[in-house]
Amino acid sequence: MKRKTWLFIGLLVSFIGSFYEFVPRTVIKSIHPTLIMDIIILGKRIRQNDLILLGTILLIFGFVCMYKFVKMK
Amino acid sequence: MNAIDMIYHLATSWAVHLNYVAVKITIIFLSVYLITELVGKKKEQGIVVSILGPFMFYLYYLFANPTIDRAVFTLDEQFWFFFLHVGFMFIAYFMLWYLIQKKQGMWNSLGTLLLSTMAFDLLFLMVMWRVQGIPEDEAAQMLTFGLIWPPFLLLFIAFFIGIMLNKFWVGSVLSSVAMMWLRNVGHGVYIFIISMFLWSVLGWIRRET
Repeated sequence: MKRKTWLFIGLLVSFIGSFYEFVPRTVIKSIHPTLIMDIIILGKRIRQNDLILLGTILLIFGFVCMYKFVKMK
Repeated sequence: MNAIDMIYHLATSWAVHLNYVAVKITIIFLSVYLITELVGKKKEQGIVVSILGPFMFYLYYLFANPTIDRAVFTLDEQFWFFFLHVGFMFIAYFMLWYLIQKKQGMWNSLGTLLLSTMAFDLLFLMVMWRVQGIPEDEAAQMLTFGLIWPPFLLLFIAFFIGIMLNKFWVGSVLSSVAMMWLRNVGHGVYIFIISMFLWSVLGWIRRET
């Protein structure tokens, strides 16, 4: 992948990750109810901590993409 | 890393809770895998990984809702634990890094295999208790340092013998027998499979690099 692609993916994924990590649940729900992913998967309801974990994982991925961008000179 | 972390917490009377161990394993695994796969496997990446993983699960602790009673479970969520986790991650990463890159060591092999096997052993215990329906606070009381140091010592001796003889299967068999004696037959078989699997993976990684 090209250098700019890594930067684009990194920024996008970091933005989504930050959204789920730092924005309170009530605010996310007020933007649009489907964003809180109030669904059941394999018999388990998606909870707030699951969204936080998703946000954390996305932030890791975002960081790695930006690190890759920096290293690709 | 998780083995070092769990052993330290149990030795210092901090709670080890399955859900948080699962979160840590997920975050650490992703950090290490993504950086080593996409960026590189040098010393610089080791330092970055050692900081990134612990920082990200501190972030998780900070923003996640507390779901378990902190009066029963004293978790490692204070900021100073970040530095401790960085140290543990550093040890784990570079122990394996020196083993693979520099082809150094009996002690690196022993440390890597021993700690990895202990991590799987503790996970097995926690999962079995969860499956058996043992309440979380009761499981937390049961998982103590007194429960883990005997198998740790016996695994150390067994793996040491296997590595010294250059026949790791001997170490696996001895460790399996030790766990059958300490716990039960199923546990012993599990340890045999895990240790042989880890040894095979280590051998494969060394051949590929």
